[in-house]
Amino acid sequence: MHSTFRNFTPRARAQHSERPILEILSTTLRLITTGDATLWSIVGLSLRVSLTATLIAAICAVPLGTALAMGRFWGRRSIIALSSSLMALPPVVVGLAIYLLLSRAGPLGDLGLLFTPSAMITAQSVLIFPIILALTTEAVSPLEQAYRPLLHSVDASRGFRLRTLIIDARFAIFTALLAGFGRAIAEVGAVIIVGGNINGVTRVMTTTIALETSKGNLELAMALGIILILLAVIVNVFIHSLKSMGAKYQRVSR
Amino acid sequence: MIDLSFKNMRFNADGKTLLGPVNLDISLKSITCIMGYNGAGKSLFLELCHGMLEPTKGHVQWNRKSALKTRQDRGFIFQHRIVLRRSVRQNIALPMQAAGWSRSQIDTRLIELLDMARLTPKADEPAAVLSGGEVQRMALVRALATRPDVVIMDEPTSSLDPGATTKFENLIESVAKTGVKFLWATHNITQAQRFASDVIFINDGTVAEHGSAEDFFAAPASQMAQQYVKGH
Repeated sequence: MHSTFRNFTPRARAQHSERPILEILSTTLRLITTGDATLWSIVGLSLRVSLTATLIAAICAVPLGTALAMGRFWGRRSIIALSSSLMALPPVVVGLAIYLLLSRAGPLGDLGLLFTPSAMITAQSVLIFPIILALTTEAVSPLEQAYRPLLHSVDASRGFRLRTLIIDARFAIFTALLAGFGRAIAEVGAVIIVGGNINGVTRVMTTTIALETSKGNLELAMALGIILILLAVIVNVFIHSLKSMGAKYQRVSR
Repeated sequence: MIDLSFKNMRFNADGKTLLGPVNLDISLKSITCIMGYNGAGKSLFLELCHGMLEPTKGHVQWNRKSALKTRQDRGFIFQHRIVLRRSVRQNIALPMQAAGWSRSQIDTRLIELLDMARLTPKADEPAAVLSGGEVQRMALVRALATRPDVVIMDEPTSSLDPGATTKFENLIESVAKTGVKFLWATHNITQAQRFASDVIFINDGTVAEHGSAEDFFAAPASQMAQQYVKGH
């Protein structure tokens, strides 16, 4: 249905934007409920890119964040402070850096990844890595302090201590992953630079919203916006559920 | 026979000697109580015994093996309660998992340990819901999980009510009868008089006295120990 609006002229766009809001809303809901193929392929690609980026960032950041909480070495505090600062990395700057790396003249240009979902996954992984790292370190640190004497007393190996802390901080770590996923899926600056917003290839929810709004195709933009908000709500519900599940295992002093 | 040996042992921190010099050779009897005023160095002594801290000078050995390398041969119970964010069963299983036991070995041993601590009905509940007394019984069977010869306890009953203390003491008594030796720091003189075979009295960072509990409580050799026993 949205394809009807795809090739609007500026005049048509102006006329379209003057249509009653209820009519736009009803078309939006119809787009969502009728299983529009273009809409759901964009949603599917967004989920695939952001979930893969979250998984990659988690594989690197969770053990590293836990090791950082366990470690007692010079410069540890600086690394923790740096990872916290990098949580606020501007997405467009990350996009630009990845673009320079992956462009033909760049050091990784031969891989031919620019303007592919892989480039978008790379950009999102880099963007959310510090978030998951900092939140994991923050979650594991108090647990590590509490567990340290016991794990030391049973002569637990470094690997065993790492596993124990990750397992017992799992609820807080999942919360960190969800926070990372939330940032990734809502991100637009980096993916539009390295993905190029190519129709059917690298067009994700956020970049489509930006494009279709500028074209005057408010129905598709709103439909994607509603799905994006729903995803944010689902992520938050998960975060709260995990927090209450985790609280069950935390000892209250008595 | 379990021998504990301190040879010219000294432990320093921030340029100050916190414990030592200690020269001590003992064959552990059933229950050895570690006594002394607050700040005398009892906890430090126990942590050095277990090999959780490395002496600045000298060494601590168990049967001529370094305490640092034989931690898995002993159990340790801390004064502050350490409860993992897991079920009671998983809390108790930790030392066995750390020692690399197989799942079937762990499951078999868990049945015995849960029964010993009378925690079988609560095995799958989060350990966070246990009472203080139950937590310390869980800590005791956790320390016993890998069948150690020696269990070191740092004031395990200091924050328990009388009922919970009695249950804990009964458990210690029954375990001691199986041949497990205990090094037990306590401030409770009545408790030490009832259970101790030997007493090590620590004062101002040194081992001031060591001898049988009977002799120690009848006639402490040092003036500080005399005051301590009188409750001053």
